[in-house]
Amino acid sequence: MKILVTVKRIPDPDESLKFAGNAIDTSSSKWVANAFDEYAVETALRMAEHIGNKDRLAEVIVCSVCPKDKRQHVTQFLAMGADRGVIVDADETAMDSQTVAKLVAEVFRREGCDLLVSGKLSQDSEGNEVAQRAAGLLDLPQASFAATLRWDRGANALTVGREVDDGVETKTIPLPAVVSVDLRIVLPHSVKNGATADDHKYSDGARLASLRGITMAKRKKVDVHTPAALGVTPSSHVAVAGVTAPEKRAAGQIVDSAQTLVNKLITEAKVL
Amino acid sequence: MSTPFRVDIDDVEFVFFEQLRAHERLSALPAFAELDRDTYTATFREIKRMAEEVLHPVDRIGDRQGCSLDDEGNVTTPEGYKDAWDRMAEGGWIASSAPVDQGGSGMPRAVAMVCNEVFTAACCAFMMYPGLTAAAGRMVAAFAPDAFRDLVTQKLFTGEWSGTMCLTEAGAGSSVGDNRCKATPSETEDGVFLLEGEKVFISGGDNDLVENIVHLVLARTPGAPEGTKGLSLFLVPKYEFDAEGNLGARNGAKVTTIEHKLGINGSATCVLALGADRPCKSWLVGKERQGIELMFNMMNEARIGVAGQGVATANAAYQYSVQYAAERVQGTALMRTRDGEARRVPIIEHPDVRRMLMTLQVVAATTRAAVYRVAFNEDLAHGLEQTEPKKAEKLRQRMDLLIPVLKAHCTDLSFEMASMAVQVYGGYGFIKEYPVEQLVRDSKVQSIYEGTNGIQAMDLLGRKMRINSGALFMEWMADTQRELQEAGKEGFGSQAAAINRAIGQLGASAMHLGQLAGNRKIDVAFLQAVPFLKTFGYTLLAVEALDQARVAKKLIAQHGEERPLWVRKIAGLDFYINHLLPQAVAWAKTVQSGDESPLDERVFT
Repeated sequence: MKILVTVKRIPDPDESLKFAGNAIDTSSSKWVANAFDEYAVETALRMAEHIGNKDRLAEVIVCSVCPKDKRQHVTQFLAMGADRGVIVDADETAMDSQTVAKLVAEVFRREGCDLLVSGKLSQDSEGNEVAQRAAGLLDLPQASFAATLRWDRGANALTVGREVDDGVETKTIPLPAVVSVDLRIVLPHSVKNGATADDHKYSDGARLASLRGITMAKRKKVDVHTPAALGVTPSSHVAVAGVTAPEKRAAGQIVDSAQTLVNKLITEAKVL
Repeated sequence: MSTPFRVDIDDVEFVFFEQLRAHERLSALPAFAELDRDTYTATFREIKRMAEEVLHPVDRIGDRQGCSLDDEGNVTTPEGYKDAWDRMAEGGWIASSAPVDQGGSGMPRAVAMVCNEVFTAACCAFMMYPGLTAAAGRMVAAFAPDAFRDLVTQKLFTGEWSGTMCLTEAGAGSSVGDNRCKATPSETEDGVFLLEGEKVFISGGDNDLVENIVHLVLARTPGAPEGTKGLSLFLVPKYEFDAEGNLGARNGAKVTTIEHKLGINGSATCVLALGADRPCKSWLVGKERQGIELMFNMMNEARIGVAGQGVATANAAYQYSVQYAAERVQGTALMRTRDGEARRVPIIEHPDVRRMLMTLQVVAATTRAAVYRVAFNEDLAHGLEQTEPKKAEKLRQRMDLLIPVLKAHCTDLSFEMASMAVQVYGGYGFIKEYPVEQLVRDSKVQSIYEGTNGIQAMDLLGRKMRINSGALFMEWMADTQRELQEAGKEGFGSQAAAINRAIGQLGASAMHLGQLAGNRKIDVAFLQAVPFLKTFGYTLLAVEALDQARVAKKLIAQHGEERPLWVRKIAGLDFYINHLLPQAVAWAKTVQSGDESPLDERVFT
């Protein structure tokens, strides 16, 4: 079993936004790993490891589209426990989701993977597209927004609990397949692989890397491809019309009576 | 709502990557050739997560619950400590810089210092257990007999067992030579000594975190002379063990009391009775009567570790204060006090609060830089030992000189900074709902243990300043003055001149004390040991403030933008020069005053 996990670097979401002309200025941003991708890697690792045993049930490969010298996030995921990495050396900020999906799909094909796991979205653009597009390109079944996942190795299938607007939908999909994961996939009992005891309690959240894992990360293999070598021409069919900061909230008004408040809500705010 | 604990990893990275350029210089050493900036960045990220997600959550509960002791001498640590320990051990954080083949994680000392500092800021009481365990491990690795060296080293570095250091007795604290603990060769077992005595202030003397504990104990063998020279070092396990590490009988080292303290309540401070209710078996570490020499080997490491704890407190104090001040609304802007309608502002807008925050910020940043630099120099010294022995020797001597200054000055300042954080919070700082009162209580011990700060000042004056007739100090002055000249060329002329004047006063103070000693007025000279150390300390941190500002200025020019962290460094230098450096000059005045009033026999009769 080979699991490919997509991982992305994003400008630190905790930093305040800076604007340059008609765009967000990321020139001085600190780049960090997308949090949903941490959940995706955690999911893959829980599937791959057999707690209490040394054997691994799957190989976990992290794949990122990024400049090859900006791979800190890949190192981080290798430190967490992924087995190896694949980098598609390109400026991902100039690509649309379809290009990224094509690159991911091509890596998936060439590696002969059985499962693609991705975070449901990246926190910068919140596009929520790559997993679904890749599934389309690969013509594979998909389950997005996974909150729970059970791997039935006998049936070579996954049973996924999906968080949808009106509740949780449970569906079973045959492998190979594509899964995008949501926040609750990293709760202590969300992922079961049929080998680790079903009642095993994982630590809440994505795991911390061990210091040993960090020092070993650099020894792990990372293949670097170019988009051209993967037969994909980067394109962007999406044009940014403009970027503006939300308007600052105006100062509130203090009114002297409930009556005035109601009047203002009717006449000025027009909400009543 | 209390203030959340936050680690400013950007400032850590500024010191490590920009100021020391540690990643580049370490990669030239064979031991760390494989580690690169990405690896260090990943490490710092995990350090921050460990601190914020694993260690800090047990900080307050540990303080409130403390430890408890049952009749059998078993200590129960606070809720959550065991889990935190397991996660630290699992992650390889207990002995981050110990060699990989001994069970450590093979990181540089500079990274271990980052761990020490950041983890201590998160929960200093908890960190006593891994800190002493790693120190005991290093001692065992270096000096224990072949029979159990590798086994015990592994057990300690991986956190399967824990370790303690047992020097102090009720009548032998700073004066370790007054130790009375007896070691008698066993008549029945070869190589075994039976210990009898009582040790006090033993941190982690017992705990429920691990299956076994090894105590390193100073004791006197039959016929050994009085004083420190007669002391030998022994390894005392809580449970005896075989060559595979399987545990056997309970040994006769038993906790009889745990202390109730001002702070670090989660750390069990124990009275340890040796050989009281059953024989206490021990094995010699190193040679007989070599105990104090071995302990001194670890002294620098322990003292710089405590300096790092001071850095931790100062940084925690700053981080809490700056967050609280930005949120706490009180009063109007000073210029609008007469305007009843004026907007109420967060206290961070008040000048005196800004002055306090700036003090906290500058002390946190400069002590961090100074302490990381020493740890980093240790890596360099170690790495250059074979290829450039002279350079390595010079680095070690510089460490010898600066360690007492850093241990004392960083920990005096940390307590002051904790107190200043309470001041920033005002009334709420005094209340237990907020975290800063605990910082005050937890940090006080730093100026006491591992050699009180008075002892550090005596070590500086009586030993370090006298090595090679003051050559170490003269070299430091010369190197620093060269740096000041460089800074002058980079547009920091006035600041460099101010620091140079302080160095002049420091030099004059040293001369003055040298003359007193030459005239056999030893008491009068040592009366000024602490003031002299403070002169040195305030000057030393000024040099770090200058270095940080120089680095920041270059980064601003290089990137064409003024990031807040960099601006803080440049503003921080001016603040340091005007608010803190004058204290160096003032203390120098005290040193050179010739005052002898405390020695007047009539005043304390």
